[in-house]
Amino acid sequence: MPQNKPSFDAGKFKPNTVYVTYVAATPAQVWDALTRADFTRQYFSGQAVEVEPKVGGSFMLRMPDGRPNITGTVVEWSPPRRFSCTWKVNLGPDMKPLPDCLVTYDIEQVGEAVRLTMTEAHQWDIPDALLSGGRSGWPAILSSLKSLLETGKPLSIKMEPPKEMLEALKAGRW
Amino acid sequence: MSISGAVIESDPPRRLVLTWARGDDAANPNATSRVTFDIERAFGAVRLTVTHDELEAGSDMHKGISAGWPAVLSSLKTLLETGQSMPMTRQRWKRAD
Repeated sequence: MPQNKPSFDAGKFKPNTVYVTYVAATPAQVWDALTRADFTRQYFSGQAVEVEPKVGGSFMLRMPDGRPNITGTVVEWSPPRRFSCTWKVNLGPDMKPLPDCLVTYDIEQVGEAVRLTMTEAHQWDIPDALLSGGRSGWPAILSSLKSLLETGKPLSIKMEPPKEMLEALKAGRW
Repeated sequence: MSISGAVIESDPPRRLVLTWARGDDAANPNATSRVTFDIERAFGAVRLTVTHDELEAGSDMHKGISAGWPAVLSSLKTLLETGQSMPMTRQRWKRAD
């Protein structure tokens, strides 16, 4: 078995949350916004992306104070069309039980715009309460990415996890 | 397609609920779905949530609006933030694929 392959089958992951937005930008600009820290710091709650640009490489979103919040492994790296990685939430004692997921960005040119599709997929059935974090967070994050690319300014969004998700994590309902 | 319907609830600037049917289906309750716009302050911005329900799964309308809303709402956001809508939504909208 090749050593550089990830040790899981992406086909086992079932999409639970899909968000589609159209951005007046080029595929290369959207790709850069997703994979470069000087962009993500502006729209992703101040976090800096660090990614090793190859399949099997490491992926991280680092908090402004330096702590790694999200960690994962690159599953697909096809600039500027498709980027996929595993996604583990590390910070916050309440967040640790969250199951790892697979996050995929698809970038397609549609006329003069780009269609960006974010898919969050899981290996297991996940209760809606746990999915609520992504379902409230992704629209805010990707709306801010769109604003940044189109106007030069991100949205000033201060996010917090939904109460229903924190309660479900505390109760161990997953 | 042309759409017609009726206002079910109007609570400016927070909530608008409409019925939704193709022009030629306007008199057919089985072909009528429902669209709800919720507008809230959230995270220092406005969160617009569009809920399109009472739809027949897999119908042409279901497929059409699944592809259409992201494009139309993306363009609405661009219009409000830059003063110009996205060119793809200025003309009769065609399914992207």
